[in-house]
Amino acid sequence: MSATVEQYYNSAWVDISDYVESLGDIPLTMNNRDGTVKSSPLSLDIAETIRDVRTSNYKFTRGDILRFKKDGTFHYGGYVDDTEYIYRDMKFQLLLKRSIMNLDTVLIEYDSLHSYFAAGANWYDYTASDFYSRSVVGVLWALKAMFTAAGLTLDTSDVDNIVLFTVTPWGLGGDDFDPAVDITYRDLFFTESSIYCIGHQIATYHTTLDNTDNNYNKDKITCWELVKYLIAYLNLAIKQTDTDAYKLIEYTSLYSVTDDDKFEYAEKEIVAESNINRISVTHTNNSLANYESATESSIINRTRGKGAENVSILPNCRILFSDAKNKTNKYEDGYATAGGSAYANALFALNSGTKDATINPASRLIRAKIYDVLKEEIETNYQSIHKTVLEHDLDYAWGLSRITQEEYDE
Amino acid sequence: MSDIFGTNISKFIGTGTPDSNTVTLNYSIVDPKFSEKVFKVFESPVSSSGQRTYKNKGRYATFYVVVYLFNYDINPRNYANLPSAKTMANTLLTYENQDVRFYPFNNEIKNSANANVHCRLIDLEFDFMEKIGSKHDIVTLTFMTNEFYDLSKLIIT
Repeated sequence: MSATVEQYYNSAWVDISDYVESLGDIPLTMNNRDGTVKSSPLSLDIAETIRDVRTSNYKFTRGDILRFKKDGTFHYGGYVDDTEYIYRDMKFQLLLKRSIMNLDTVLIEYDSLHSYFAAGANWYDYTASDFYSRSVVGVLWALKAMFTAAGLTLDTSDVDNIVLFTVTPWGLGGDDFDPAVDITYRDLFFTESSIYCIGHQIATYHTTLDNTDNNYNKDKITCWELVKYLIAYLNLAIKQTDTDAYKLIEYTSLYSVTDDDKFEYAEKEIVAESNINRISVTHTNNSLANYESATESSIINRTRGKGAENVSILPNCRILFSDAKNKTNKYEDGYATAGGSAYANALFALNSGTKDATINPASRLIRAKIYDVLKEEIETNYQSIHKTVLEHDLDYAWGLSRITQEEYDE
Repeated sequence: MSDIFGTNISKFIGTGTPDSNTVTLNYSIVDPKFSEKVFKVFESPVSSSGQRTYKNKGRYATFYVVVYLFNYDINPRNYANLPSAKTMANTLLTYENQDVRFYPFNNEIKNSANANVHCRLIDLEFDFMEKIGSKHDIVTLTFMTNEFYDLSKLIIT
């Protein structure tokens, strides 16, 4: 076992493992029960003797970058968010936050994001003018752009081409095309104007939101507030692959640990608090034209399901899908297929006929409420394979994995 | 002294601070604590056979070396160039809280990769054995290994 703690210092990664006096468990997973993304902090103490190899008054400062590896595998990277020097104990107490929290410094607004949507995009990811003369952005590309705006990178290659459901293209057919089109994650998109309204209680063009006379700036949410929900809506998870690099992944199976290797073990049966018939989901249903007009439109909500136990999707978060896939020879401008299913709300593909349930936001946001769950807490040997369990913390000192996972009785 | 670890007189060599001199600890005895193990036992509460898992990270050592300083003034074994007791005491104090290469018996302390493991001279505890009409000064040096070491490397071949 070889675990290292490294600091980015003087433009290079420097191993400071020898100076680590205590180290909290390293959180690997980034999942809440409802599928939203969480970012756990990490605490560690560094001995004052690090000054022997630097300067006599060296101090850690906010923004210093540290990363943690074991057997060469990256596990956690973050920035010093809080630092304190304890004179009596001759040590620095550091609190790190994961770099993904940089997303919380970028607002969902035209000035912050538009240039990132457009830069380096191919027609599939961003089109300035589609069939309806609207600017459209792929959902995965929008996520990438937000990460880029926050100084991060997001790899979507694992999920780009996963098929979510199949549709018959509207108004097409004939010999030139297959009658059915597979819709993948990469076929999901937003209209650009709708993105800037996410979190607001009105639908309008971004110039109205950005006009300081209108007092809408206070309602702008950050990229972090959108990303943590959006990934749950997509039924995906995220993992950190380097200090500033992340990857979208599918949910995996759970860990399977033999009894002999369970050093601590507890299990709890959680009875479902609700059922599917008591759930409803509310989402925005404004006309897409509302987002292209500088005039403010009141938000129009639509509720699916009959239950009083309501889950709300972020206002104006309208995920659409394109059935223009594989039509590059005929439709160079990408999303130029005419109307119909091209603009259906993919968030609710689940309850409509053949469309798959996997992208229904309810599937993540609600499943924790409607299924009985067997919750396990396991302490065992270091598990090197990343799985999307609820919690997986690493104890570097003893080479242990502490896992909390939930098995749904689906 | 030991047939396994050898019978040489203990010595240490400075690692640059305050110098890189060799200091031979004549008229001394070594009291080793070879095995300060960093070790845990994990027992499965679930296993039907009560399976245990052992996680052994390594071992440190602490060496207590009692130096009979009063003999430095008497020199009953006629060692050449032996400093006086006071000079020796002052010399030893310059290494306090410094890293040294320590040879407790014959061999230098090494790790499993055969690299030298430095020791920190963390303490010098002065004392004296009192007899009527005379005082017999001694000092106990405490050397601690700075990292895990390989005990087998101390065994003479």
